[in-house]
Amino acid sequence: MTLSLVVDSITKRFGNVVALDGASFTVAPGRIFGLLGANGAGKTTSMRIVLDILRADSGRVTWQGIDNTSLPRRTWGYLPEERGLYPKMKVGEQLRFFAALYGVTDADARAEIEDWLERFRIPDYVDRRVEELSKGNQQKIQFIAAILHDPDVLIMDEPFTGLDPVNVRLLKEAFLEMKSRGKTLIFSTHQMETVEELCEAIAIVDRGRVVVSGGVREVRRAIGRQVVRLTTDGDGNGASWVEELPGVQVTARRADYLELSVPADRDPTSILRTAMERGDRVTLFEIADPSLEEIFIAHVGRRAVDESEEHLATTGKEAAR
Amino acid sequence: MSGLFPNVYHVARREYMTRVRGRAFVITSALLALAVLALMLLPTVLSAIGVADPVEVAVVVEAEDLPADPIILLQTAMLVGTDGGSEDPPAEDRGAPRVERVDEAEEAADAVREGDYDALLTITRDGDGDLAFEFLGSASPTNETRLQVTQAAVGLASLDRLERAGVNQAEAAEIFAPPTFTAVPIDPEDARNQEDFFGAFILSYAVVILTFMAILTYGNWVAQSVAEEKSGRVMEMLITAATPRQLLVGKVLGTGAAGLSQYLALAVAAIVGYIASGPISGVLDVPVEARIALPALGIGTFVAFGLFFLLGFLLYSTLYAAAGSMVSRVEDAQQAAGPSSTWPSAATSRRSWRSTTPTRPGWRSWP
Repeated sequence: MTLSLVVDSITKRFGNVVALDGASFTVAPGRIFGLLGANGAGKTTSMRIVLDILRADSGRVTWQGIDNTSLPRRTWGYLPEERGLYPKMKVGEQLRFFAALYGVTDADARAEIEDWLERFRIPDYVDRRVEELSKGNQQKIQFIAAILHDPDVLIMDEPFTGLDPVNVRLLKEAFLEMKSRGKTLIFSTHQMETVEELCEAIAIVDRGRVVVSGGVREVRRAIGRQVVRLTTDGDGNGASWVEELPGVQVTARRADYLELSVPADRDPTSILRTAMERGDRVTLFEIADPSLEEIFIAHVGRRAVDESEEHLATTGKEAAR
Repeated sequence: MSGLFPNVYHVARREYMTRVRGRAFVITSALLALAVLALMLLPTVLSAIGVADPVEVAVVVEAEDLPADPIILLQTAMLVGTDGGSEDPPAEDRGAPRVERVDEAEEAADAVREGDYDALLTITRDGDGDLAFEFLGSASPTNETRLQVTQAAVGLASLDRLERAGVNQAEAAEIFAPPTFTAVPIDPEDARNQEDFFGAFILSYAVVILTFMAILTYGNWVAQSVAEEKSGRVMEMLITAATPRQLLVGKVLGTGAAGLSQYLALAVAAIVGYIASGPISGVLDVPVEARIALPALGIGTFVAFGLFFLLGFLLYSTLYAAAGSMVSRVEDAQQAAGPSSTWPSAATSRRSWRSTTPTRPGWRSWP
């Protein structure tokens, strides 16, 4: 794994506050990696330490076996959470400025900028000032600023926050394009559905510690439970008999199905058999891995986004529309 | 540590372009240039509208047996106060002060109130026979005419007392003759003649004031710019792309270049004003000498000025940048930069004092 990005036992304190407490995770090259956690969990601090914007009190970070403090700056592309651009500068001028700092020639930068603006469907924005753009379009410009120098590793802090569905889709496509070019992508988020869709590996951070990390499939299985979705007509949606089965828990009662948590050592089809033996008509029986939301709750004890944050995020999306 | 260039150039260029394209910069530069232009033309215009008319003092002599002609004494004192007392002042042309003897005190007082005379001096004798003077004019203790008239009055009163004590005019002249006084400079090679002194005096003040203004104004630009980048996340983007040293040097150089551009605009305005004041004097029919006089300074002096200016600016701008980096909000930048302003203020006070004694050994030392 020497080619990977290795974050090894990093600790960072700000005064009396422990932002990171021996956090470790590994990101294989060419993968899309999700850093999950609630606000204040330590995601941004981890990213800043990887980028060498901050130095850890202890621990180390290596990429392809080389300490991050010795790596050339153009190894990394960085997309901060927001406001990472000069509001009064024109888009094209600004992007060429950032590209120039990484040593990209003006001609190359112009060609890349034109290509990416076209891809993001905003080719006419090159002469607009950043402050005139919507939040979604500003985020696209920040993304372009982060990749113009063709970095090996792209690190993005909450890239989807406040974006409308169309822009989310465009940004996801851009992520996949970068992955197809062999780039390693790391992004932080607390939007589990995005992680489910894009990430091959994750780390869940809580109070400065990495509580679980690895491939998404391994993380799902490591939780030791399976999810069963069941609809029968025998007992309405109540299906109270299910709760009497040893080890089985009802985790959600939806309008048209029950969601059950089943221990890994129990064969889920035994539930189906029990229902049929009872003479119930089974209209839905589905075995699935637990969702990342469930995994997050199992490890952290609460949701990644509390209700007030979710409301703010929704309001932000509506405003962006 | 990677080298400073070319990132310093990119950062400086962005800083410069952002600054000089800003509406505030353009408006401020234009207003300052206009102010400088007006300042250069002011003496000519004032001369044309009569504000700079020569001082006229009326004298009423009610006292008898004066030891000397008070008119000549006053005229001499006021000439010494204006042009060094050259012997052939064509008073009408050169704007030399005029002293006129009048007989009617009341009429003269009315003329002063109406502005025909600047002041009226009435000379009488008190009960002890001593000369007494009454000055009608500006009450300001620093008024130049009042000071000169006071000086002449003291001289006249002294001569009068001496004469009444039995000392004749020739003996009095001997008493008041200046003694032999030789000034020996500590460093003979550093000695300056009158012209050198004047040039050094003007230059040292100009350097102090221009550098101080540049440091305060442009230093605050640097602090504000750093705070702006820090308050957003632009700093994180920048610090990922360039080293802190590249960012600092680029920012200071870019802002400094913008400041110098503004100074250049002011210098051009000053030169235009100086050149234009000649033809304008002709049109307004006022003497060319009315315009601002420039000291004769060599190119080496200007190079030295540029060097001091640059070094001072770089030193203090770096302090301002450090101050800006310590705050998270743009609003706090000015406050954080406060202590940075203390140093140039202290250095300016020290240099101002030194500039009044330019032959003192080591007066050129920094700051």
